[in-house]
Amino acid sequence: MGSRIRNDVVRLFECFCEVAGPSKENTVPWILQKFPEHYKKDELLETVPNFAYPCDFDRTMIQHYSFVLTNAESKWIFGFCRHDPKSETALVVLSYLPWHESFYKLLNCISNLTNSNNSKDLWPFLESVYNSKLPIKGLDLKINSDSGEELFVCQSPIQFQLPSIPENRNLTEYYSAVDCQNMIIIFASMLFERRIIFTSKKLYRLSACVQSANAVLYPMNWQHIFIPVLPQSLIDYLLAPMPYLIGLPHSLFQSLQRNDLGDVVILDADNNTIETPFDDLENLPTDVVSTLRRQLRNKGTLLGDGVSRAFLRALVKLIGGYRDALKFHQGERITFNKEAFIESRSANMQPFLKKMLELQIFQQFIEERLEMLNAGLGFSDEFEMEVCNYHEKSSNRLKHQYKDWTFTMKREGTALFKTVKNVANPTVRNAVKTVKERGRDFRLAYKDIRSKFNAPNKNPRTKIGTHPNSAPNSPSMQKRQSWSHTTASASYRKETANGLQKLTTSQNFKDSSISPLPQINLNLMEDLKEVIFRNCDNDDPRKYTSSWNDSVKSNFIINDDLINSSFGSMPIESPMETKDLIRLDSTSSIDDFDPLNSPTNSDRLVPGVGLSNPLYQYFVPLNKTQLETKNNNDLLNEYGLNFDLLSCSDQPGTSMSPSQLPVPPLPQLPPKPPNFKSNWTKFE
Amino acid sequence: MEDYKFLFKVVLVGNAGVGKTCLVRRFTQGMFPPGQGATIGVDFMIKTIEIDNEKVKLQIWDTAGQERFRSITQSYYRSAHALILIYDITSQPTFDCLNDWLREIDEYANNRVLRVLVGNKIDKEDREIPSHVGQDFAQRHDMRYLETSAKQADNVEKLFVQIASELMEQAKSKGISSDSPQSLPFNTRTSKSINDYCCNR
Repeated sequence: MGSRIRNDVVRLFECFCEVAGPSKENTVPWILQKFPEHYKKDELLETVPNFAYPCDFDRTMIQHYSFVLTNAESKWIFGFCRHDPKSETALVVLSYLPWHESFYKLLNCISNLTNSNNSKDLWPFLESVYNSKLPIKGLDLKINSDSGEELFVCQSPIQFQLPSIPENRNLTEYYSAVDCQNMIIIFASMLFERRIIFTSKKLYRLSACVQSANAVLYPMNWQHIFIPVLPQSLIDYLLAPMPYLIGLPHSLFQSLQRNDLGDVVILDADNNTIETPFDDLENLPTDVVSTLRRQLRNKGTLLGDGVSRAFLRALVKLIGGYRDALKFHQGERITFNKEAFIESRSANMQPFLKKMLELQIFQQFIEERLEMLNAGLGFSDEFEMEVCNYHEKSSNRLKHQYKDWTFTMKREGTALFKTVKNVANPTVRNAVKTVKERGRDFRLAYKDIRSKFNAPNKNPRTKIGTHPNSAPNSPSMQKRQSWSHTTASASYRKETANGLQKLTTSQNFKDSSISPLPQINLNLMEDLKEVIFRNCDNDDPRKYTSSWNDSVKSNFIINDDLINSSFGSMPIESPMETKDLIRLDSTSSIDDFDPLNSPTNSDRLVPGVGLSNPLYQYFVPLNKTQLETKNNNDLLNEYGLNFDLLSCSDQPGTSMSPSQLPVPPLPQLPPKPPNFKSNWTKFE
Repeated sequence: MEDYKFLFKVVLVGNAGVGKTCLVRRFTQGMFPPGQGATIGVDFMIKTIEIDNEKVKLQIWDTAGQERFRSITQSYYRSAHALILIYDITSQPTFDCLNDWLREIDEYANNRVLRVLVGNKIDKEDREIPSHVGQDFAQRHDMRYLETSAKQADNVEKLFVQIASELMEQAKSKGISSDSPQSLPFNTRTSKSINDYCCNR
């Protein structure tokens, strides 16, 4: 898996140490005391003093920084440090969680308790923090003293939220120390997996910059040697032939034999200068760099997650096309097709994408996404959201190809859907998950699946899955042929298949501005759009996720019954709801989010419903083992398809329990379906 | 820095349990075991050997947690001089994984390092991979081949010495001066001679 953060963390921290600094009597730093005392990872603990006192450094002010240890599974353990000029010791908390702000706060609490008259309170305090359950994403953990006084509040980060300025101390530090141009050069160097050294006189700046340089790579993760603060004793690691990202205290940097290092990129974070022997920036596609630069220089939007989002958008442009390279064949695992990936972007980007395939960070990213898909875990995060936005804004071709593929996924899963209820067959769960991934179209898709329980699946059209990624013209020709074979007597199954093909064909031709197809087909799309969203404020179509559009359209084209039943079950408000969701999200976007204009900014973050909260969590649900006993409703819930969250609840007539779902058509039709019907008829 | 004429960096690749660490420990025995693998995720050992009266320093790097990589991509080894791919001759799965490890390496073969295939654990009786199978595989993928036993120190010294001398030969043929041991163009290769390179059986 790509992530280097453990996802099975049970407690806030693993160990607290107080480390005595080097002195005249004892030149080696050592652990004065630790909590819990039974913490026995000696190999780890042995190295902690070295990282707490990595070298001679300026100790005239209080400073917080973090170091990182890497265990045998390549997961990171964070060491959060607090140095106080008034103290001979450093306070260190070891944790698997990268929650810098919370742990720096915790260290301040510990320091207060240590220095106050009630230092005897320290151990009970640590114990209650240690024994506390991890707060759910977005919620707080509060520790009170015996007298009820609030000692420590740990806010669990909202899931998938991008690092924001000024809330995220690391990114804020990185952004203020290093200018846009140099941030972009570092970004480029990391995308080419160079050996990279950051240096600074200040340890907090060092660790903040290294951490942030990795953070803006999201959704990818640095896969190589990662040492935000390198102790003197490990200086030989700078000779490693593998890529690395190492923070080197300036005092050690000065004593370095530069010609021993070979080709390295060096960022001096104090002077905002970079030395690099490579042309990595020049090798990034120019339009990506210029957009990124423009966004980063637009000071007005940089508060909040503007910086993170600018990098994320650059990555979407570069690698967002991975979705078009996913291949699905019935009964097989989803795979990644390199050629299709390269073709997912325009010719000027392709040389870079070829390079990208050679990178460990990209490979791990793909592995992770494939693993999640194949395990039936859908995912929706800021990256995928931005990919949707990007597709919406740019070429429709990509979007439709992806839709093509996901539609196949759904259909392939159909026949097996019964199985999923019993044994959670991965393939089927993929299909269901894909449904989930579509965003808010699940009712339709679910009905699609349910209504086809007994439909024979004789002709699995895996071809659809293999074509979308080819050059636009050739598959279009094939599809067009098959469309011309459509007859009125086509079977239900056939009709479904051809429905999709028609859709694809028309869009392909539309995109390539060739229109040999009957005009009516193109009109259909417009008509559908109008019908589907006629009750919505259609000023800004971008506010709908592409997945919503895609799936609604493709599902509607499938067949009449389905459309009727879909409309019966889908309240008109649903699209509005979708829009709302996206609007919530876009509040945090670079365009209009300005925390300075919102004095109650932090209060606005309703726990669990964050600005950029995803539609669901991709974590394996706790109650997974109870799958067999679940009814449909539970199953849907498990897959993140929670009907209650939909606006339909305020329309009793249209809010159905899942058990009703397979029964088309419904008595209560929303006002406009007849119109829709007529549009459909027009098509026929 | 100590006195040496050449410095070569060697990267080890292979499944967990094939004996990567043992092999290096055996070679460097007591010489330089920093042993930070458990906290940094990467371990390296250094040994200086003498070849043709010239001092050659070998740095051998071993990354923990390699299992998480489906394959090793070029960026992982592009700054190395040699790549040792290790499998366990008593374990078919570790041999089967070689293809995965090599997948990327072969695909982007423009920047080649010296590559050596090593079948380790020949001291064990329950061999699953016949010698010639390993040899064939190596030949197909344009690699040197050697079988070793880290436990009994069979061929361990030979392995590293041969890597060192071949790298040195390469370096010399490129006219590298001793002043800049780091700057050798280590990503290029001279013509290879598989038959000269050894297989012990």
